[in-house]
Amino acid sequence: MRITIAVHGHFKSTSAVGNDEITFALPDADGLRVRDLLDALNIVEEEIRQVSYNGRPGRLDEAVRHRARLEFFPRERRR
Amino acid sequence: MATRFQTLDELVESLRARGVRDVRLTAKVATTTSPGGKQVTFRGRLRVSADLGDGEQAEYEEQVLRYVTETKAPELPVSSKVAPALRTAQAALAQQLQAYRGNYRAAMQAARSNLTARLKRVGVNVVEAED
Repeated sequence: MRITIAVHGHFKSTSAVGNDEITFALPDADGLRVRDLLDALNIVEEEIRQVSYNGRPGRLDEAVRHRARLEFFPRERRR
Repeated sequence: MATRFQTLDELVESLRARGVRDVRLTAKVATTTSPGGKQVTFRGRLRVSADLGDGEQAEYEEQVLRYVTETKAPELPVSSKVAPALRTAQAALAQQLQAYRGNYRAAMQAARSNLTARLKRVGVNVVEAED
């Protein structure tokens, strides 16, 4: 399956995704959820303010399907 | 409606004609893993877009040199409850990201800087896509 991931805010410098929107070709995996990607993406769940799934608000326990487009928005960092 | 230009010069000419000085630069990378999982291919694209007013958009796209890398799949701590397919997908993602970080990100950054410099030389301001 093919998924596209983009990150915003400080995730651009702290996650493994960086500035560029990245499309990945992954083996099909039933049961793969948004939350399962976080470790590989180096994104800490507690730092996520919002997930967008194909342009609408998504959930971390939502199944990731072919052609999913995920965007991660961080909470504001405390100074 | 978006008009796609074949060269950067054509885009710049069109922007000048309309008095537009700001463009947006976005980057996209497509990665593909070979069936064996060892080889990862990266294809990058940089897109320059501008709002011409009246709902019209201008676009120019540039390919970044394709890069193929070979890498070992990392061992990931996955609980025994998780299906093997899930583990494979996670490992593939981590592998692609690892190779991207090591090799292709620098190439994308260099291409992005180069394009930004070319635009600045002709008096166009580049706005990186941000929140």
